[in-house]
This record gives sequence, structure tokens and C-alpha cells, in this order.
Amino acid sequence: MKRRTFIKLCTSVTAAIAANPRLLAAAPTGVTARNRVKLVDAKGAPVHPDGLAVGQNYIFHYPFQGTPCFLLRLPAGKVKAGIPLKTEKGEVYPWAGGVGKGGTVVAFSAICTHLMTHPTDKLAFIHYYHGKDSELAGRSDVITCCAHGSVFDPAAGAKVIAGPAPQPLTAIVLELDAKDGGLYAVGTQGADIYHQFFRAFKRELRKQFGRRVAKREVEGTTTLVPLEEYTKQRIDC
Amino acid sequence: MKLSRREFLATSAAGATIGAMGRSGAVMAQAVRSPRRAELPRPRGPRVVVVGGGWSGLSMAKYLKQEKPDFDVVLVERRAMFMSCPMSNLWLAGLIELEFLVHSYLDAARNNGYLYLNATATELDRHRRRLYTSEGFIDYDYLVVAPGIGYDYAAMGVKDPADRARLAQDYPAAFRPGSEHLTLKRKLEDFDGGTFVLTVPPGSYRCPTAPYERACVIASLFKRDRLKAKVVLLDAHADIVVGRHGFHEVFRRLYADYIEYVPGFEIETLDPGRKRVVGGVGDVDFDDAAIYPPVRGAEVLERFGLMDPADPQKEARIDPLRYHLLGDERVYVTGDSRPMPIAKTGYTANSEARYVAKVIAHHAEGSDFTPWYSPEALCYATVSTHPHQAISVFAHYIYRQNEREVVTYTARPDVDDHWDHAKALSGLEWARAFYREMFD
Ligand SMILES: Cc1cc2nc3c(=O)[nH]c(=O)nc-3n(C[C@H](O)[C@H](O)[C@H](O)COP(=O)(O)OP(=O)(O)OC[C@H]3O[C@@H](n4cnc5c(N)ncnc54)[C@H](O)[C@@H]3O)c2cc1C
Ligand code: FES
Repeated sequence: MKRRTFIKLCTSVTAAIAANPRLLAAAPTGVTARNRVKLVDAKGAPVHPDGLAVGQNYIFHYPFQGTPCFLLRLPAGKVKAGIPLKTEKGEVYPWAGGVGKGGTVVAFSAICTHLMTHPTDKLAFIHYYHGKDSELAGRSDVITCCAHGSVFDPAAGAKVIAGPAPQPLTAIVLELDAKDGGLYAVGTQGADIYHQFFRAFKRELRKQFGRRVAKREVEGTTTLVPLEEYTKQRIDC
Repeated sequence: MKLSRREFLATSAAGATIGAMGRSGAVMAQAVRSPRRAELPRPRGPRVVVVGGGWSGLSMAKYLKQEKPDFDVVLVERRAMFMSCPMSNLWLAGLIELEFLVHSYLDAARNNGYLYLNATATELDRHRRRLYTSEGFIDYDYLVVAPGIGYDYAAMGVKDPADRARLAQDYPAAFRPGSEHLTLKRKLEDFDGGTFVLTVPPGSYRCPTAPYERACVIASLFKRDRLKAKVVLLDAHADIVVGRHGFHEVFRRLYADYIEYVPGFEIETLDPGRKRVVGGVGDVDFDDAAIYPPVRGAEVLERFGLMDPADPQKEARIDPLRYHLLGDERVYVTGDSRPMPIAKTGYTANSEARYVAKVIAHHAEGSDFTPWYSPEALCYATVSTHPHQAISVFAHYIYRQNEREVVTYTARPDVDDHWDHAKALSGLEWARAFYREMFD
């Protein structure tokens, strides 16, 4: 993200806070407010934190139709909401954290911040390990990217704990709806690599999603799919 | 950093030697120096010229532009098309198409905001900050020299230049991409049986895993085709250099009848006419071979006066932390020509480039030096082609500074000796991601 856009973001957050002072206590800085999108299951029903399996990788697309994200329910008691994270350019932001009981339901962009490897319909080289070690990381409860071995800690805002990635995975800011109790994605926090992503994957995205679809912003709802259904082959490393 | 008095004297002394060089030297310089300016747009910011469009130069050009967008970056590369060494062993086995390995320099330059000049760099005038190329000269503010490796057949005891030429032509190493690889592939397709010799050179050589990977790939093909053939791998080192456990297991379990691994084999000389490797422990006759000679810094370092004459591998005389030529902070050497014991790999070249681009950008802005951090190196090495399976090998480096401020690097290789198809697929993604990064 260029510095100018970053400042603009902060201003937009400030403006939002000015309009609604109640946000102040909760509003994390460095959030890019984006479309408020409802997460739904295959049948179109809202997704509730309690209905999610701990350790399962779920995929949804946000903020664009071609940009995959992970939704994870982490084991209780580990999530460090508010921890300060740093982008490659040195901008510091406190991680917004998760939602649900203990804030264990968290979401991150599934595009590796090293060289943008991400789960596709064919292969998933990057994903979350729970109940089994990631060999390259030497532990579980991490997101590992097998392309070059970057390891991220989802309980700490997807901070880089090993490997070449220069910045945390982009955090997706979630909200629980007061009325239906369901999950909503409302913004992003941290690295903004979407522009680069669309350029580098232009041809592949066209094949997977169709012409010009991938770049469109998601509006209304986005469907949550278990990783195993989303991709043909999950690669462990 | 200011020039210390000693460094300054050293540079001037070097200048004096060049000045006093015999007439023939001066005439030769005249002949290769092109008097015209290369046809390039006028620089719109400090001009950084990068010599060599391999893994290092391509990464440098991109990251320099990213670090400081007003840099006017020109990449000088003598090839008209990029071909990747990493993954080339898979192509030898027919697992990927040539298209996977070759890429366009025009795409790299267009997509990353720099200029590509298809030319050979011939001479350097550091006093005028001028680089001469086959397409004219270029004045620079900063120069990055990333020319890769050269082969040192003489260091292998091959005294007769005719024998050296013959070796290079008849038994190419295939460690510099291009015709060498095409020829090796053809040789493998034509091979009907017998002994195929591969060598692992002493010292620090390009891609520590590749000779072992190549032995496995070739053995895998022999095994698939049920040839009465074996790979004899003559290793100058006392044991497998990286991925030791993994490769030993693979040799033993998959290729007991197809690979003969000979560690500690010091080559005394080679006789291409008799197809014989002469070693201290005995001679080895071969039916065909790919001879990987000792590796040296690319020849152009010597011609540009950037070589460390005391270095047995003839690598660059640079500051090991900041990569600039000792005594000249306008000239940098990166990639496989660096003298530090960092593995000579594409990955380290890329990861180092992110750092060196920062160093140069900071220098141009007159701001503080950025702290050193270790280049990364995770490689996937194919150990079987049918089915396609790989192991992974990991290394990183630590920087030590002892009381006398001598800097050393220590590699801490870590190996994983399970091979499977997932790692083979990860290896392909490893490469795809780097091609994307350099060309898209
Ligand atoms: C078979 C094989 C397998 C490998 N596998 C891996 C792997 O799995 N992983 C990995 O990380 N690395 C691997 N490598 C190593 C990797 O290819 C090298 O380390 C890497 O290419 C080094 O980059 P470089 O830019 O220093 O040199 P190069 O890539 O060789 O680039 C140097 C460039 O400079 C140009 N040049 C030289 N002199 C001049 C001049 N005077 N004027 C203009 N241009 C000039 C050359 O044409 C060349 O394009 C492998 C190598 C081989 C051969
Ligand atoms: S793309 Fe994920 S580690 Fe390189």
C-alpha cells in the first residue's frame, strides 16, 4: 500500500468514527472499510460461529470475487487480538482480531504475501494446519505456504513466524450481525496486494472465474466452502 | 561510507596499473569500446544499470524500481530470451515443457517499469561511471553487476586449451542455461547404455542440490527404460553437500543398481579424447558425461577489475554486508558472483536482491543503511521422475563478526528426507511463483 492511500484509509476510519462515536472504542486503525458482505453456506443460510468446526479451513471470496480468504475457528484461549503488526512499508496496525466467543473466529486473505501463491480450484499450497504438524513449520496451528515455506500465526493476526514473506497475511475484519447473529466481512487490514495480484494472475483468474469477474467487488453475500470442496488437491508441507 | 585512506590508495593503485598496461591491452580496449552512446531514452532519475538478466539481475531491476520509483533502471543482458536453470532437470526428464523454462525479457521490463537492452557489457570505466556495451555506452549513477558463474576447466587440471574447448563442447556441464541443456537432453535420449559420468565440483558451486538431483533424474530414466546403464557421480566433497540423508536414502533405496556414488574424488585431469577422468584414487572411463568443472566468478568480473585476485574462485571483491565493490559505493556485485559462502541459488539471488535494492536506494537518498538479514533458501529437489517425487532442502545464514571485524557466514542446512509427490508439486509452484515475480 502506498503511504498516501494508507493515510486516506485512516482518514476514512476517522470519518466513520466521527459519524458514529460508539465505534471509537472498537474501531481498529488501519482498516480499509469495504462492502459489508454476509457470509452464507451452500444453502444461502447465514454462518454462525458455533456452526464452524475448530481447525477446518473454510474458503470465501472477499473483497473481490477472485480473491480467496480463509475463515478459521481457532482453538480457544490463544487469540491475541490487538497485537501490533507491521506491513512491509513499516505501517503499524493493531490486529482487529476475531469474533464469536473468545474472538476465535478469524479471517485472512489466502494470498501469500511473499509471491502470492493462493488456493485455486485445482491446488491449495497454502492453508491452516490443526491437529497435525506442518512439516516445514515443525508445529501445528499455523498457516504454511508450501511454495517457499512462509509460516503465519493465525492467532496473532497472521504474523510471519518463518520464511520469506515480508508482511502478515491481510486480515479480513469480521462482524457479527446484531439481528441474525451471522458473520459479515466488512473490511481489510494490513497489506494491500490486490492490484499486483490481479496483474500477475490475469490469465489464470480469467480461466477460473471468467472474463473480468475476478476484479469485481463482492456485494451482498459470499459463499463459504470447506477447502476440501473448493480445491481438488490440498498440498501439505 | 567514505573511502578509507587505504581503500582510496588501493583504488588509485589499480588505476595506475591499468594506465601502465602494455600497448596491446590499450589497443584491445579500443577495439571493444564502442564510441557511441547506447540508444536509450534520457534518464528521468538516477540511472542504475544492471549487468546480467539472470535470477539476480532480474530481481535487482524489479526491486530497485520498487524501492525507489524514480530510479531509471536499465537491464543489460546478452541473451535475447531467458531460460531457467532451476527446473531444467525436470525438462531433461520430459516432465515439463520447454515453455515452462523460457520467458521474455521484454515482458519483464514492460511489466516492472525498467528498460531492457539486449547487449553484452564489454568494458567498465569507473572513473567516468561509464559502462561500454556491444550496443554503445551507458553512463550510470549506480552499477549492479550480476553476471553469474564461469567454468574453470584449468582448475580441474586440464592444461591444454584445445582439451578445454573440447570438454566444453563435447561434455557440457549444463549449469549455464541454453545449448548446454539442449545437448544434454539429446545425449540422454540417445544413450543406449554404459557409464554416464557426472561430477560435483569442489568449493562453492552453483546450486548445491542440482548435481545430486540430476543424478537421480538420469538414473530414474535409465531405470524406467531398463537400460544396462549407470550414473557414476564423482564428488569432490567428502560427502553429499546438502540433503545428505535424503539423497543417501534415495540412492540406496531407489537406485542401488543405477547410481554409483564416489565421494572424495579429486579430479587430477580429464582426457576427453580417451573419455577418461583421471583421479587421485584411480581413473574412471565413461561412455558419455556431463562434466561440471570448478565454478568461478563470471569472466566479466576480471575484465571489469572487480575480481578479488586472492580468491581461488575468482569472485568479486565486495563488502560482504553491503555488496559494494571495496572502495566504490557506486558499483555492486550480486548473485552467484558474490564471494560469501551463501548457496549459489536462484532463491538466494532473489531474496538477496530485495535487501541489496534497499541498500542502494538508501545510499541514493543519503539515508541510513538498512540492517542485514539472511537470504532465504528452500529448494525442492526431484528424486524420482516416474512417479514424480521430491525432497525439500532448507538453509539459512547467520552473520558473525569477530573481534577483528572479519565477517563470515555460516550455512545451517537442514534436511528433510521424506520424498513424495506433494513436494514435487510444491517445487513446480516454487518456480512458477518466481517466474511470475520476475516476468509478470
Ligand atoms: C540445473 C540447475 C538447477 C538449479 N536448481 C535450482 C533450484 O532448484 N533452486 C534455486 O534456487 N536455484 C537453482 N539453480 C541455481 C540458479 O540457477 C542460479 O543460482 C541462479 O541462476 C543465479 O543467478 P545469477 O543471476 O547470479 O546468474 P545467472 O542466472 O546465470 O545470470 C547471469 C546472467 O548474466 C548474463 N551475462 C553474463 N555476462 C554478461 C555480460 N558481459 N553482458 C551481458 N550479460 C551478461 C548471462 O547471460 C546471464 O543471463 C539451479 C541451477 C542449475 C544449473
Ligand atoms: S509464495 Fe508463499 S512462501 Fe513464497
